[in-house]
Amino acid sequence: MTKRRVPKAYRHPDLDDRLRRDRTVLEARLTSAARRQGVPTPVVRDVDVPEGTLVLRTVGDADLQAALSAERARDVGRHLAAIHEAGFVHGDPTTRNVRVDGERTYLIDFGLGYYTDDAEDFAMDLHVFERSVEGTADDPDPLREAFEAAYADRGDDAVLGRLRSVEGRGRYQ
Amino acid sequence: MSDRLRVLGIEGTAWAASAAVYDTEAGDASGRRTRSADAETDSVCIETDPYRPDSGGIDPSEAAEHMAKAVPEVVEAALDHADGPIDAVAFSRGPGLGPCLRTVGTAARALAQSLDVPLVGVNHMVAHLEVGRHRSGFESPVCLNASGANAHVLGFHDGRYRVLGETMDTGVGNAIDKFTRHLGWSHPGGPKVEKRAKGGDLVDLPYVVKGMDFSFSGIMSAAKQAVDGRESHGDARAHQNSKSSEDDGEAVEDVCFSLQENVFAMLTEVAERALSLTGSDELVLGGGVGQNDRLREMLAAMCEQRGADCYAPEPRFLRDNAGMIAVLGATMYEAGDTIDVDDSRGARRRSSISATSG
Repeated sequence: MTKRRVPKAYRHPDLDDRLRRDRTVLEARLTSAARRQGVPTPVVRDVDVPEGTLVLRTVGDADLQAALSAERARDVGRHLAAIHEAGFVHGDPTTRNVRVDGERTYLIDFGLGYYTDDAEDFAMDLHVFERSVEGTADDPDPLREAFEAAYADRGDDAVLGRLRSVEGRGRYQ
Repeated sequence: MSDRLRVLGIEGTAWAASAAVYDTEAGDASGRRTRSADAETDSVCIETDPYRPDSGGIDPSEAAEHMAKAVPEVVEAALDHADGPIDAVAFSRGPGLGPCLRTVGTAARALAQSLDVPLVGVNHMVAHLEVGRHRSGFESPVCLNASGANAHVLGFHDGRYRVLGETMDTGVGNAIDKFTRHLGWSHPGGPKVEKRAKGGDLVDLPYVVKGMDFSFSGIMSAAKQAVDGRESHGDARAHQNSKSSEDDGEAVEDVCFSLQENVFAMLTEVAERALSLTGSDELVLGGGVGQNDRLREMLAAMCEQRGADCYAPEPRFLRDNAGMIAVLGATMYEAGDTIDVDDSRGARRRSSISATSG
């Protein structure tokens, strides 16, 4: 499949160009970097930075949003721990940016990711995922517990601690 | 709504001493541009007396003094417009500044007692959201709330709001104020930035979106540095009129322009992502920063590009106002969600809890 970052009419054209280029480059780089950590992601076949296009292999049958389960949430927790260990974040790990099929749980759309070693950034990844689960699931608690348990297995406990403080900063809970 | 209702609303959480009468069947022209059956025929009359600090920002005790003086006057003015008996008194119970909330709570209780009508305690933030949803007539919209102390995007579904994304540091208006205070401009800074941005060019500033959350502190620091120039530690006010080559800072016009381009594009991007996540094709704007033309333009362009409907209330319903308190008060009154006036200690306790959690 070819993924093109469509220019956004609402954004200043120069700012839009800058964001589309940056995100296209990062997506190509981080999608491959994640796969090297054993996280299922689409294979990147081609990148055209000026056009803002990527050619990717299609993965999964459905978005996680449509197939949310504790087991899938666990997969996402494990995958995020793996990329955090490698020193980068996804940036936007919502249930719409996770694809699923019979066997695997894929992370896609790394366009908002970046390299970092800050626990705060890792905690934000977890926060974004939990927020999206809360926004779509009627009973998010078991999903959140499964997700955090899987992350704790492989990831850094300090990140989960920081997640609590990130949540505490939100104004409406 | 079945029976005709007239609800008096009182707002006074921070700077706006405001009273309004919401009449569910007045049938005047105020709601004609909206789609809702209710908003077609109702009317909201708002009287507001803003607190204007002599210098700097809001001083809570001065603001409370203003409320004590101005609230009875705006209430009287609003009541003059009512063409029949009032059915309930609704007041802004919080969140807000503690001294203001206590003053307004007391005034509302006294009024409800003297009119012998039920008292309704309204959440200020929910009122900001509900007035737009009410006037738009949308069923399950995404709401972008952009105000001084807040910035968040919410989904409305099955009768409840869920926060989908929000600022990780300050509200959008307060963030802009941090930049304008640096330039020595008075509060509120947003309208002044909007004015100075005209004719500016884009300079590089940070753009920070993390999923559906976002933060402003990095971009505001960068904006201050941009006007100062890197080496400058001098009086920031000197830069107010500088488009000269005297220093190596960026022109204030350019920084104002870029600040608006980046900050509002960030808000528009998360609003679009929220529409995509929820599958909704309805967006409602709320909050005082929603008066900014560039933000409204971006949201309208985004919605047009994806075929969604965008509703931005008139400015009088965006900044703090009692109209939104009266509108939500009417809904709560109909649902039986009232406060016992005689239990004044209870009401006071609730006010102070709201004050600390705001």
